[in-house]
Amino acid sequence: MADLPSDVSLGALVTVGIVTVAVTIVVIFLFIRYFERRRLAALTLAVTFAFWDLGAISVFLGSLIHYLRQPIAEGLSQVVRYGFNIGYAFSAISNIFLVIFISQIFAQSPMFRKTYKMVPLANAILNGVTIGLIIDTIIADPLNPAYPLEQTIYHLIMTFVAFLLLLFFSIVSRGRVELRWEKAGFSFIIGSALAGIMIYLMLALDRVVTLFVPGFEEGYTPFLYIGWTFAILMCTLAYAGYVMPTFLRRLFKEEKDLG
Amino acid sequence: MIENAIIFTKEANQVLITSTFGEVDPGMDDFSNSLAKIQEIAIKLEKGVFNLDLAAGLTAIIFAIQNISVALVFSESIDKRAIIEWEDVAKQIATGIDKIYDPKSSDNDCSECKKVLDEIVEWHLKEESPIDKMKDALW
Repeated sequence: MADLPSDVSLGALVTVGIVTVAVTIVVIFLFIRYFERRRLAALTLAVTFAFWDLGAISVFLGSLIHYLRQPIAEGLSQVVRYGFNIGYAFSAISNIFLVIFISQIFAQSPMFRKTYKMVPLANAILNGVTIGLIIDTIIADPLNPAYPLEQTIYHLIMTFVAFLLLLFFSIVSRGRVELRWEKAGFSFIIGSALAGIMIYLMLALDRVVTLFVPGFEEGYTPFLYIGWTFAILMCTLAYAGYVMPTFLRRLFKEEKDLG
Repeated sequence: MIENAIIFTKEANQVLITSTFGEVDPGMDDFSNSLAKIQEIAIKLEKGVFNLDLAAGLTAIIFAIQNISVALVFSESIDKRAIIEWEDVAKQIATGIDKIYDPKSSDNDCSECKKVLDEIVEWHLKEESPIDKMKDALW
């Protein structure tokens, strides 16, 4: 079976760099919003994106160091593999905080009334499994940790669960609001969640194609670039949906609201 | 702003349970006329929502769900969004009561039904709506 590529492409490095900058901008805005409002849900969301940002930073730094040191001589550590593994671990932590955020905002739902905090707790434990799998992978081969397809698929499923919860509740809430800008806010969040799902679907497809399709053994299939492009889209929509800057709110406000 | 909740069973044509969350108790003499009006509609209403203006600025929203009608009395008129949110609450109450109440049995435990009603309404009152939370925390 093919493994992760031993050389990092400049295109992938630049794409991940752009994603990292985009997420960092969203994180900064979310923390500014938290310090303005001092609400727990705002802090949870900022932490969610901060961990996702740490994931992107890990992949970027891993890729950058690897790129500067390549070709990596046999017996030396393939830093990009650490970047990917640590990145996925941070992404799993981000999933944990995303579901906590959902349970805070949509707490009125019967699901959270009946189960209280069991949903975020169970989700945290299941995402903890991802982190455990990653630790195992690194321990198994500290110099050259792999990223097995099973781990990618498992993390993809956990991300699906988190984003589908967000999607479901956002769609329900969107149907209940009356003002255009509120509808727009939930629409952007729905778009952001869909883009979030697409990121991991594309990254999983990248691994599948790398492992099973002849001619892609070197890695960096188009799915990887599409995945990171969805990440930029997710950040843009998250900024629009969660931060809802004034210009966007004005754009979607009805005339009767402007007065 | 919710004052009380009254659950009617259509089969028995009567009030099953009531619960007070504000200052207007459904058992008060002053409320008897309003209760009679609510009951008349609650029993007749086959399905859907009925908005009923009452004396002293009170408003009753009556939700007919299968064999149960849920009447929620508010101290003021409520907007469309709030009606949709309370309709969800009414559905949850009806579902909860349906699990423990048998209209054919004479051995129903009304205290259990009241517990279900109180738990659902109190949870709804404790937790703000997602839209309000989003506006408070982020928007």
